[in-house]
Amino acid sequence: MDPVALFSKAVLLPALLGGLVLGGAHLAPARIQPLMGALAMAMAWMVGGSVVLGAMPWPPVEAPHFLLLLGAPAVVVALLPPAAGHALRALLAAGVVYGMSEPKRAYAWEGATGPLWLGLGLGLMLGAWVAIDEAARRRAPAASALPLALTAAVGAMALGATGSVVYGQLGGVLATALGLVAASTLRSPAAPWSRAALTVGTPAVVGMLLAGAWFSELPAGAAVLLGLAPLAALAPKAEGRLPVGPLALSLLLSLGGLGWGLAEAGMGSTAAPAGMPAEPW
Amino acid sequence: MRPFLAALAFSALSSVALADTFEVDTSHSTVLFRAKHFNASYTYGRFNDVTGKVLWEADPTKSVFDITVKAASVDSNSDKRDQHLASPDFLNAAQFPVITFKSKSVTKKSGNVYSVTGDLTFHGVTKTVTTDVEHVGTGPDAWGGTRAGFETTLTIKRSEYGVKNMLDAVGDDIRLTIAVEGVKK
Repeated sequence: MDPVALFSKAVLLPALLGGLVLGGAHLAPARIQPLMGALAMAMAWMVGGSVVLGAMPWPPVEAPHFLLLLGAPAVVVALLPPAAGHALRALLAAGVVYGMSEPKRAYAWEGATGPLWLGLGLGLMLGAWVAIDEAARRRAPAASALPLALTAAVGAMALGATGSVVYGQLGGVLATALGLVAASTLRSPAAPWSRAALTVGTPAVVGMLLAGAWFSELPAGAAVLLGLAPLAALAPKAEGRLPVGPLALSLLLSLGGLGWGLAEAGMGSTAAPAGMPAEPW
Repeated sequence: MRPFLAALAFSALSSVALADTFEVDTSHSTVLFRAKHFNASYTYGRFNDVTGKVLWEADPTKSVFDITVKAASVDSNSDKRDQHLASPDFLNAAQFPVITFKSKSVTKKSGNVYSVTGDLTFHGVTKTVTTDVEHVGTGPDAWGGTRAGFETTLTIKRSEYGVKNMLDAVGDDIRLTIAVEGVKK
């Protein structure tokens, strides 16, 4: 793929969309700032993802379609109080994990494999979703935003390097949008739009990792390590503008996941043209 | 009235007897594909797992073709490439495990060539295609059975089936050669 087109799709477009709305959030009255933050993330993800994948079918077919659609109800989740938000999170996570796993349940998983994967997928998605939200409420959103953005960026590399350029691009969309949010929290560590934006982005990050394990070649162990990385938001030493504890733990987990993926894929040394597999074939 | 009913029953029985079901013999069947690589050359590959059946009627225009190909059986003589072809970038074989063709109508063109129209489902997208199918032959095998062979070549645009990735590296036109041998059941 043309590197300019790749950059435009996976980086420039989500940055532009998210940046515009986040910029608006700075100027908006405080009561609508969470809505603006959630909308910024949802727009960046849903529009950027649709540009990468093409027209969205209805009903959703492929795993990323479910995750793009999840962006809309996740905006509602972001605006609910904690108890109601967590209940809706559980419902949505269960529905999305079940929906996107349909081909695996129908054709691949046998015996205990299906329930194990469903339980693990739901646990990772819901665990990260709740942990990021709780950390963002109790601490400054920077403690959640930086680990999540880091997970998204390293996850995008792992997805791209282990078999699917398209999944890598989708990860790039998420990493770009969450990177913007993380950057905004460095300037305004407690800004109310950040927590809402993170609420929309979290299930998409974990969902893409599950999709990589189920439908591409991301090793299960790598997906689990990367999926656990957002939980680092709850790690100690999260005070201040730069939350050292969460950042260090998420870096450790996500790089562990990336290393696992690269080792199993037998890659890591070959420089590939943008949008192409690591080795010519 | 009785002779008429008897004739009707005989006619029905005859038509049943004249329909042969041939089950596809995977080891003697092939789905070849050809795609342009960087506009420089054609790269060929095949799918190794082809199953299905052909209901071959005495009146071939009433025949039915029902072919299933496992997407994960893609074989392009390169393990790395096969892995990428099966990934979500191309076939997405875990999401869409099978490629199917089910015929809807058969019309005779000339000699042993028939125009077959049917639904091709590939990458989760179903489109109606029409292709010329040659009935290569029918004959006895060495084990007392009967075999029949059919072959067709058609070209599809992969982008129309939602396989749009890396179109500048791997061409949009995919030429398929489907050759099946069936064993009479």
